[in-house]
Amino acid sequence: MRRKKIRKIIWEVIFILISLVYIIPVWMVFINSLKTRQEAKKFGLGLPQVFQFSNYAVVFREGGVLRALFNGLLVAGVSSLLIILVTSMAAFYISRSRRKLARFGYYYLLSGIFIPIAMIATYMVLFVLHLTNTYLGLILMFTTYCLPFSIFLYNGFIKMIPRELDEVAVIDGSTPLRLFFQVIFPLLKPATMTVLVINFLNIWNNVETQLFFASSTKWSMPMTLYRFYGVYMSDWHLVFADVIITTLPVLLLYIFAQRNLIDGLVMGAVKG
Amino acid sequence: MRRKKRYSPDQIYKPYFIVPAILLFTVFFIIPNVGTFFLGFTDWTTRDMLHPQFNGLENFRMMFQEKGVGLAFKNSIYFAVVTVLGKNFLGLLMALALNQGLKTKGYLRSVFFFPYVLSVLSVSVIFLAILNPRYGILNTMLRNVGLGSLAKEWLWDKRYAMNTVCAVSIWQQLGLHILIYLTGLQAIDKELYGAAMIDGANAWQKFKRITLPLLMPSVTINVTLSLVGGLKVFGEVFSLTNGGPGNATTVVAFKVYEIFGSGMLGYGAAVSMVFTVVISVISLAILYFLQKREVEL
Repeated sequence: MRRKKIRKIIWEVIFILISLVYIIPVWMVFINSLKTRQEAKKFGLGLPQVFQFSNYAVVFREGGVLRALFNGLLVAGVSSLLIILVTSMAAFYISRSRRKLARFGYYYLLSGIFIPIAMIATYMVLFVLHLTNTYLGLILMFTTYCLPFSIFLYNGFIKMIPRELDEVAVIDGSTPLRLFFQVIFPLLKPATMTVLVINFLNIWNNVETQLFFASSTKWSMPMTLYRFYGVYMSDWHLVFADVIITTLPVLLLYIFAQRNLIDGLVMGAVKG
Repeated sequence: MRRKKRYSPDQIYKPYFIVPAILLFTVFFIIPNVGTFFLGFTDWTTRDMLHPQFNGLENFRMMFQEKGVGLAFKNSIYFAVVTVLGKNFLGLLMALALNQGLKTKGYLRSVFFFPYVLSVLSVSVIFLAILNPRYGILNTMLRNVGLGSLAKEWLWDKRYAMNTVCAVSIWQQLGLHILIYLTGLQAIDKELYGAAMIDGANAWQKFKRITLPLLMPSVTINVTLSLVGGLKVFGEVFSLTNGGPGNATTVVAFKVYEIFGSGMLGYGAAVSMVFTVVISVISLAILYFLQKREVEL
């Protein structure tokens, strides 16, 4: 028993040491974001001589932070809401209807999990529809790209809701739409939270689609961080401050929705 | 019972529930994918967007002549193999160790998982600092413990750049894989181990005969996830090395981006056509192989 306890303590120590591989970079970014240009260049882990809070003000002015925040909230927010609406309904039909369309829809839509996005030909579609470099184009693309995984997630969840519920509601005179929005959708809340958080994050963090199809005035925060790095490459104190600023929204999401996020990602994957 | 007969499912579940999803998916995903298979045989350029002319196999001839494309495929596959092995080997190892009921499990879970929610761009900017050859903390630490000879120009030396990009990707995504393996481990019935202990099985036998077979579904998920992500890799390369030094880290998705930038859209479509076929075949083959093993075991 005693040997087992000691072994456990050794493991705890080993893991705390391993976790430093993750903690030290975060500390490096944070503490150097408060140093002067000369200090930050050395990437030291010690405290700054004088805390340079003004770095953040500079980044706020030069980094286009608010614009990027707005872009991200608009594109990722609207897309996520659209995804919830479209995929919860589609998944409901897929898991309930016995028609061929339901089976076809399942395989058709889930093919997107494996097949990569055809970026170049997508440009043609956007061009023809006059959607290149527009918010609407981005929103529709992101909504599409998030369909397969979200439907997959909802599908697993809807299967656990008994069918009898649908029939009772319809007998009570409810239309299919009222049945869905008043009875089924509220029961899907845990899945909806997961779909919301995961898709919001994926869109917010997306690189390829924004890079191919939108100019920098429509980029979300991580994209503008990269552009900022390109311009201020030797001003690490500012780059690090921008890292912190652009990470804050995600950090908040992580703190408040960690359970949804982790469980959702793991569950979503495991159910496959 | 009577009421079940009065309402057929067709009266409750209407096709318009699924039509928006199918419509969007068709316009923005299927049409481009199918379109690629036509546009790949044309001389389509950004200068004349709406009038691509059929030019036979010209694009494919170019593709075989240009060394860069073959190298890009090789690099994508190399990245996929290294990261699949790294993420799964380390992920499983860490999950096994974490599964012993450590008190710090909650803390570790949050710490390991956090980078996964960051943008790959933020992670890259952080690593561009860490890997800075002169002052970066990696080389500084190596020098401080007397291993100065191991301090390299990680991202700027052809010999190490690709492996460094792989390592950054493993660092960022390891947490997700640990968690999936942990979930799988926790679902295994503890009594099985008790029975094995009575039979006198040692730790390795227990792992081989009980843990691994019952963990196969998690292995399937983790391998598939990391493989598909690995073959499609773009962001890490774009932000860490921009394909360089030379072409050392140019992967297919990055090559397609470069061609897109040059305006030779027909050529780009041809490359991405081959890419789509390669990814689909590899992913489905691996999935089929792993799922078959699950059943057998």
